Amino acid sequence: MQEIKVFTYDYLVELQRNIEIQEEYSAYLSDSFEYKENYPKGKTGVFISQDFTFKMPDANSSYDLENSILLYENIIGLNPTIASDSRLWTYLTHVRFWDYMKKRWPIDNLEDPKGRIMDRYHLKYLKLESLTRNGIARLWWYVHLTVDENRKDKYELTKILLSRAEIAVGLLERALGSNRNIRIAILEFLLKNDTIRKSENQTRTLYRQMNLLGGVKNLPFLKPSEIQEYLVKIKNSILN
Amino acid sequence: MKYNNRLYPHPVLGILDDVEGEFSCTLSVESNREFIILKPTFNISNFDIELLIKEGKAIICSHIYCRGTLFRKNWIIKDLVSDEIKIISDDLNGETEVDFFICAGINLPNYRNAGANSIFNNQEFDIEKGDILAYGGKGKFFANKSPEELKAVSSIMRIKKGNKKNGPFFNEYDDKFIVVHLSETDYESYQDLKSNKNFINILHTSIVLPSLLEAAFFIDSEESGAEVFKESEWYKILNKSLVEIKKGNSFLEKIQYILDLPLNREFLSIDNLEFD
Repeated sequence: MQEIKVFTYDYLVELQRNIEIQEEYSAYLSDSFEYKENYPKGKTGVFISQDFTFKMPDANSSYDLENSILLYENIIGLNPTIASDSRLWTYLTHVRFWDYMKKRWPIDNLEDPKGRIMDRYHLKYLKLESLTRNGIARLWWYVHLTVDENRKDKYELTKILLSRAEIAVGLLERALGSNRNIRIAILEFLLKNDTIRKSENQTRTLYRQMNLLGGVKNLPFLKPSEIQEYLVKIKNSILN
Repeated sequence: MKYNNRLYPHPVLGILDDVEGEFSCTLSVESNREFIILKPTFNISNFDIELLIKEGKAIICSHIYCRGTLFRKNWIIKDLVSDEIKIISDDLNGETEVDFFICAGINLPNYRNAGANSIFNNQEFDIEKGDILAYGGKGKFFANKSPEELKAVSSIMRIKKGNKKNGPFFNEYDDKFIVVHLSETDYESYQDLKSNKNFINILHTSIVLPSLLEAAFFIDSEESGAEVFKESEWYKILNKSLVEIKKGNSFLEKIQYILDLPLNREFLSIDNLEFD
């Protein structure tokens, strides 16, 4: 096992400034990213096998689901606090998983790559959207937020989350998705309701209606079964 | 999330002048290595809602949201004065919001509040379990940073060596810190002096005080461009400190209180030096 390093905050700022102010993108076109070994003192306590590799994206698939599960099962010592540390994910995107990042989030053909580099290679602010956009952080968080040890297939809901890009984006970029009861209830509902899950418009309407409901109701206070009842009511209004 | 900018389909205590009375909370936060402990104390004055709470039909809740770790959880408060909310430290990181509500604990098909604004026409409302009946406002704290750490200012400030041999020091701002750049010569002197605890207070007055003061004016000015740092940790912590500090009228005074009267501490340090 290899202990994962983290960059220093100062170095993160330097890297981000190269992109945001200097608009210097050439390093992101190279086969390996030239980085400074600026590490803080101390140990991270986060480990990964030296042999660990992602399944490389190809023309058929991004393999986000497979890679999410692979990462979650192979990275040791992560908890939500460490997993929201920009220094860790920036090190992983720029060093340990550079090859994967280049393949999954290439910038070669982008006219203005600033947005993609900042979104996918960095993690500037601590918020829902950033954690689920950073190229590596998102993979871990997808599983962490949906894994359910009480199921026969503990990744059943992760599979629903990643069955269509809009499901993950719509759910996790709204505050709605940050409460476990609501998140699980919605994913379970989508698991049972193929028609809505497969329709971009209907899924979006479902999220919107739940959001509206959350405006007057303290949804996290409700039990998952009670949230399910509201989802069924919304379903009836969508389908009728 | 904002709860006080919404139009609710029924009267909600704490939203505009929907309902007469009060629902408020004071929150204190303690932390140790393992847990963050929130201690809210509530003040409620509305007869109908108090009665619903007594009958178990309405429930006081604290809703905790940390966007850094995607943590959002609801706590039911059973004891108005002494209930604690204990959260595992590893579950939170950075700015955390706490909202306070009174929610319907069951369906209330004929809810009416005698203190409701006349605009509601003494109407009955069909309230469902979970509907918000009162909103007690929002509190914020920074998880995994003790009050001492926040007070120390070192949590939001970094002192670094600049590019010039000599010259004035200046501030730069990034996403995490206020970075104070000293000239090379000054930085070397700073490094020599900071290890001596007698000089810490002197350094506070000569470097930290003016830098923090400049940062206060920076975030206060509409033309400075400080808006882009609104999500930054230093911005939020400094802004919160400036808002919360009740003493002092000007930024100069407020910053001195935040730093625990550095000039006074400096003079004491100088006295000690003379004595030594």
